Amino acid sequence: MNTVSEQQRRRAVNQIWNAAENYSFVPDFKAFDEKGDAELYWNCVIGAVRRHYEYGKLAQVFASFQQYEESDIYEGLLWLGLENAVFQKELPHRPVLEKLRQDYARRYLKTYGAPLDDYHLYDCLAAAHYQRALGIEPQMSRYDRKLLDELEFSPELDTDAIVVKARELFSRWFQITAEEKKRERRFPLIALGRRNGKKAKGRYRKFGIGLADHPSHAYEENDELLRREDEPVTHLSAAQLRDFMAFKFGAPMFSEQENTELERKLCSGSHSLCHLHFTRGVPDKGKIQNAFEALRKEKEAKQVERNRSYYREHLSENRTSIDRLASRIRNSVLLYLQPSEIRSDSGKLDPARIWRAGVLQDEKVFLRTEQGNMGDLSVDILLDASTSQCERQEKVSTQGYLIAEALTQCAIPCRVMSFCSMTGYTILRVFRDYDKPRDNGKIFEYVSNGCNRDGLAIRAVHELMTGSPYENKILILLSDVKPHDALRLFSDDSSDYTPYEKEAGVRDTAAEVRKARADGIAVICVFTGEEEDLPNAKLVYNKDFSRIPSIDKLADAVGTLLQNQIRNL
Amino acid sequence: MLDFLLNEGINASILKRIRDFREQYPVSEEMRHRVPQPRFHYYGKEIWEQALTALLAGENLLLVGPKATGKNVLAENLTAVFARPAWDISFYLNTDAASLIGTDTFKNGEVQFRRGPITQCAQEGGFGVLDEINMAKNESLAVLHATLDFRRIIDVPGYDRITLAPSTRFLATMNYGYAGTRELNEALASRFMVLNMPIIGEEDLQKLLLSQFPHLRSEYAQQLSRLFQDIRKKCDSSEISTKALDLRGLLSAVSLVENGLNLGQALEMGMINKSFDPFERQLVQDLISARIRGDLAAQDLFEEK
Repeated sequence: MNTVSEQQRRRAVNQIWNAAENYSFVPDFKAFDEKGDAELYWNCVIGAVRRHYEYGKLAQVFASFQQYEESDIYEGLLWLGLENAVFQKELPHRPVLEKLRQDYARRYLKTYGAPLDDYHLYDCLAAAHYQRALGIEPQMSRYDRKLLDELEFSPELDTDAIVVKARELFSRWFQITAEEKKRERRFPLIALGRRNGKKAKGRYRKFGIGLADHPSHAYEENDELLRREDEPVTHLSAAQLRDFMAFKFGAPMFSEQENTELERKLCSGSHSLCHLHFTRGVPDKGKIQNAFEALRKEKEAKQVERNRSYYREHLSENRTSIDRLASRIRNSVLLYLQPSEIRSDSGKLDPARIWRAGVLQDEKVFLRTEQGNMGDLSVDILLDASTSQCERQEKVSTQGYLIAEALTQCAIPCRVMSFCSMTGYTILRVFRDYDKPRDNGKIFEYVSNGCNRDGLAIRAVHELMTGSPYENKILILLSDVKPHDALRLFSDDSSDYTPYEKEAGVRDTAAEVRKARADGIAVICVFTGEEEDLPNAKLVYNKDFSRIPSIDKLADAVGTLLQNQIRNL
Repeated sequence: MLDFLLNEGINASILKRIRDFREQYPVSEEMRHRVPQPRFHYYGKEIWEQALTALLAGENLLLVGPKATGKNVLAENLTAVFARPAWDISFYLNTDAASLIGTDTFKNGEVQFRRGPITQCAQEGGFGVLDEINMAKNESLAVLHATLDFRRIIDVPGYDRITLAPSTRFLATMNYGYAGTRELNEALASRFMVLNMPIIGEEDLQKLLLSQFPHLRSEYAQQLSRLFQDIRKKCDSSEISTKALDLRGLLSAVSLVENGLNLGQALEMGMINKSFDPFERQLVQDLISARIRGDLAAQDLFEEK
């Protein structure tokens, strides 16, 4: 079987939800055809089973098969039986099923209907069943026919009756207990006196297949949390440390001289002794020094993959969010357009031009107000990439991506960065720059690391934004507003040791936000943290932050925040 | 129209008062072409009674509801019931006082006032349909405040003060619930009676389909209206946007089948292609395939005439 793409999976789930007329569950079985596309007919059947029966009870029967090696065969057979019943139940409600079923049956028989060299129970019964669906009475042995007759459940049965019947049938024909789990194995299929071949996976799985697509747990291995790296004092020299940053986060984007200049300007006051590292994440030539680093690189790569697949798993919601957010932004931008006056043959009379009407027969002596274009608007997005975000990296990267993508659709230049701090360095990683609309995908390279010196990061971004060519600037932070850095708040009085965390950290962050605002940058925050840190967010961002209870609310929340900002520009 | 209302079971005393209204305010010959002849009927007794009563009492109406709830159909129907000339005014972002009330223009060598639709409607005693009123900036609608409230006047700066003819009413429509719409401010909303338009139910949709296409076989009317509910359900669970939830598109698709296309092609044009996202199109296509055979042609869909 070809691999099933995330889209087709999503599509299958949608088909099932539709048939079930219920969008509140996550389907366990999904059907795909041999090309790996969602199989409409079977997914309708799966959904309809949910609609007509109490699925919980049936799920117990399916679960009980799991203890046997041939579980997939039993599952397949039970589904055949259910299909028979539910098709007839659903038909009056959805007449098109008749055609879908026949099409499917024809397709099945064409692909798998040829007689086999060796006997496969499921193939045999399925082929016979689909022949019946087409109104052909199949050629089959007396035993098989009897089994099939019993298996094709009548639509009159309710859930309990089907469960009773299924249990009885499977125990009589296959000597298996479709009841609670028992570890004891019996000889399967002995009543048929035939060998059933080892796990008929090859063939049967090919078509019925997807049927056995159980919910897989996205993250098999539970990476232990990255430990906090509070090691400000290292044995490395300044130059070695700089090389280490370049190696770990990517080559610096400024020359050494420019960087020193920036550090001199920004790493002052409470951030004295700090360093800055700006990077676009371009790999540096450095070599992996030790096994620990190698492991970390590997973990980061895995995280990037998780970020991407988290986005893909919620693909359609995410797309809807992007659309919604984009239209809200577009709308508020339109609202913001500045009016300008043009000459026209109707509107407000322009006394200075009125002579032209009499003398030149030029009737354009009026002024009409037209909506002009707004000044340039740019948006910077800053993601908090500290270890405290560790457990929501997928969410944060997806949120960042959604906002960036929506802005891209509105052709508003945006830049996406993340920040974290380590051994005195605050690292700003640029994922996507104003003029690189195609780089949004890089946002998924967001990986959390180390501490966060929010104040310094905001100060640095403030500096970068001051240099940008745009007239109106908005900065969006995705942060849990929990500043924490190993390097203390600098003070000339060496006896005053205030760690960069809690209230002091929040105060410093708030001060930087105020400075940015005073400079005409609108700063808003999408709060990603926990309830207990909400007061911090209020302190730093005043009203201009929003907490997103779930990702589908992102568009509305961010939309409102942006709308307010654009209105105030 | 009045017969239709009678069939819908509208209270007889309301119908009588409508007749009185029509007698009291006959339409002049030159305005007759402005009285709409609705193609679609609005179904829903309760909404009808609420709307009619409000208009009879001299109120202006604001019809609020999501996509495909028949706001414009009801507005047109109401105008037809009262047999008043209609002015359709679509609001957009740049709608301003001049485009509503009127503006100066040059004619025969002198500056003249060119009446805007609101002014015309007010002088003729018509029904003004203010479509998507929330799309305009609230500030630019402030000129309508005096028009819409008890004062019932339009004061044109530099010109005269116009008093609304007594039969003048304004029906505004407003879509909400999709991104990109704005809320109406309080000052404006308070000048309307607000009707919340219910989502069209399966049976009403069937009725609508059958009234539009009397020869449509009832089983297909049922399946098509269920299909529409399926799509709405998918929109509600935000798996797809509301682009494909297009009642106009559904009706047009059926009429395309009448004209020779098969149903699959017609629905593709009427509904699926309204969305420009390939994955979303696929989801809508699946919904349709799970309801309706694509190869159905006119002879399958319609009874012999």
